[in-house]
Amino acid sequence: MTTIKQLLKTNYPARFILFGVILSLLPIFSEIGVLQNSTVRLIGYVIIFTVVALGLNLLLGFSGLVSLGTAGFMGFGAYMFVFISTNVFDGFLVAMLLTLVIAGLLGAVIGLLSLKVEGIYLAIATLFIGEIFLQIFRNVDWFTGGFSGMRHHHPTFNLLFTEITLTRNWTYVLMVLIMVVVMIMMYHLVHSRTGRALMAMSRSEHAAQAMGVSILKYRLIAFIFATVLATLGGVLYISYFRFVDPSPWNLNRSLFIIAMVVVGGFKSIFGTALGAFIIHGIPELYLKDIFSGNPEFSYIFAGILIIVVIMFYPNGAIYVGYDVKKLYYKHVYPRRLPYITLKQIYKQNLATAADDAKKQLKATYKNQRQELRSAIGAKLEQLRAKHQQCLADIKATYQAAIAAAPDGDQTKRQLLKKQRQVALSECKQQHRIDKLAIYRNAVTELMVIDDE
Amino acid sequence: MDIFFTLLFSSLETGSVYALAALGIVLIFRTSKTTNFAQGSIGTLNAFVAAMLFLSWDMNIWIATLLAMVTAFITGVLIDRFIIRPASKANAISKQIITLGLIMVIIGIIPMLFGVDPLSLPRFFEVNASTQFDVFGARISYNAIFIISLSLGLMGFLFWFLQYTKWGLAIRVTASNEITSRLMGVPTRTVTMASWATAAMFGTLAAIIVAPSGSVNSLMMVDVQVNAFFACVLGGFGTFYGAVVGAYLIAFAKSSAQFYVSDIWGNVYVYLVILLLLYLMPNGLFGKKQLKKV
Repeated sequence: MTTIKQLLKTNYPARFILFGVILSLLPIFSEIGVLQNSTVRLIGYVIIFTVVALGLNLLLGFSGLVSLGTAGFMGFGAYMFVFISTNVFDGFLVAMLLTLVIAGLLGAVIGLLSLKVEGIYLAIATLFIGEIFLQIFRNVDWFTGGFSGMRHHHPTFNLLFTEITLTRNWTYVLMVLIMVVVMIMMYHLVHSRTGRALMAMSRSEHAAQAMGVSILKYRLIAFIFATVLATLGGVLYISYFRFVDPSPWNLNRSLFIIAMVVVGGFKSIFGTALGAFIIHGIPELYLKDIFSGNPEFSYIFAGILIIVVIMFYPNGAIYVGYDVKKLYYKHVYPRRLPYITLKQIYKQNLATAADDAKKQLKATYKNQRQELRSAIGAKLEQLRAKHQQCLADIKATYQAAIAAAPDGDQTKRQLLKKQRQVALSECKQQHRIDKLAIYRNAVTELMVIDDE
Repeated sequence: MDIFFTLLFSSLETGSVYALAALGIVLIFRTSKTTNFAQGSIGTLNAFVAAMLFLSWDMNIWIATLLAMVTAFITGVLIDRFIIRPASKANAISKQIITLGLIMVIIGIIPMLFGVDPLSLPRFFEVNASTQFDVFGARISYNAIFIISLSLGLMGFLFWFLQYTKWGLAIRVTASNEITSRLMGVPTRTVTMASWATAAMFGTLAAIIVAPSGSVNSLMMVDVQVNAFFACVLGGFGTFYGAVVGAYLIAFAKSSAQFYVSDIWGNVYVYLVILLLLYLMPNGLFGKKQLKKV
């Protein structure tokens, strides 16, 4: 346990692996009947979206470019994968790599055409690309099967002498594996030269340019990365759901993916996964039954979240944890500190004590804790009485002063009122400081006793 | 020759729709420094209002349109007051994403307010044999003439307004530099609010014109929105008239490509040509290169 903790602390990508291991255990729960099958399917969908949104996060979070063609590229990936599997080579890895290479080239061409100008144009250019893709999906029957769509099987791997076709749950595990690989890749990309250049661009394009960062080059890298990951998402989609038709790949799907990045948190890898779960998972899992009257409810949910997060919480949902921690250390932790110290001392003693003394130690510890609590409580009670007295004094002084002041003198009254407010707030401030001092003193006393 | 004129008239009609939407987008781009992706959705929302008034309350189409204009004005003002203004310090990308969020909210709200079934709106003038006449062998309806002249008239009025009135001057200086104009005493907040309201009204008018050729549903403006954006890009965001010229050009190119080249792929070719053109002329046909101070 401690070694795992150590590993997680020193090696950040190990967290992705741990996350992946936990996620890949879900099918087991569904096998033994704890989880519903549909929930695992939903999480599978969330994993696909996470892969796609990670690519978009690099584009949107780092280089500040919006792509509205993400869903189009996902669809392209799914169709291209089926096409290559049926016509060229029916093996998961080869077909996937071919699809990704083609998507990367396509992304490079589109990026070169649209990234030369203002970043704002990429959104419009990708909007068209998305529409063109949709047109292709609907009308090119030999490639996409038109409105009736295309069917495919779960991934197959061609080994030397045999061929393995995965089951649905093993496909799920494969998807988790690919997601973890993408997360680790993304982590290393972000912490490399490219990542630093992108980070510099996101702060100030002009400053980055002045430092010799080629804006076009890094924008292009980010866009190609986003394209390839969107395509990868499409490949995973067709592999897991085994069916693709033109309907899901419209602009609205792209908007949902943008919502995932925004809500989860720019530049954060776990945040993207969290965002994918919030935007896709929560409406389907929890809110669907409450709002069953409105089929488009998830749009309102995502839309309002986008607006609210951008306006009031630009860091994204992943920062909720940090902020809660911060609040805890500011307000709750000082009060808990004496008890925490006591417990630590007890644990130290326990480690060195002989076996038969342990029981007694525990009893003493409990006693000490009780005593500490009552001691602090008594001091607080005293302090509260003092505080009440302080407040009452100020109020009495104010009443007397008001009574002494002439009736019509408004300025004098206002002045007195202000003085009263200042005095009250000083009193409260003092109370707060005294309270903290009590906790601190308790801790110091404990330490002193321990040293002796 | 008659085919050419048929194409010309139909593209003038669709071009007017694109131009109205595009003008709204440029207006907002210049005053609020963001590309408003929700332009089409705001129009759709208010077209639903018009359709509701027409179908359920048995109102005249003219009155329904006027009332929808009023609600469009209110929508624009509300969006500016409660979403865009509080976020005015955010960067351009954040504002762009906010308008994307607006699209989602509107798509979600429409079935809540108006039900899930698509509604329908009639044309301003019925189109039949007696309301059409021949020009050079092409048939043109009163409705088309009305739409073309209404849009051209409105846009002409807007250009006159921008060029020759005090408020037009306020809009132009806000577009050129917001901080300086605020220092000079221009009420930039009111200007921004007015441009949102105007853009919403233009979008709604475009939606009401488009509605009779299909149904009133939440996706009806996607095509117009896409083309309006292309028009803005083609004409350049730098000028107000560029977007209008771009809109008519695109409409004509699309309808000729669809007729002469391919029914399904004509507009795809036009889009690709425009993407290439954009590569060669990054600031559009009429745009000037914008210089930024660091």
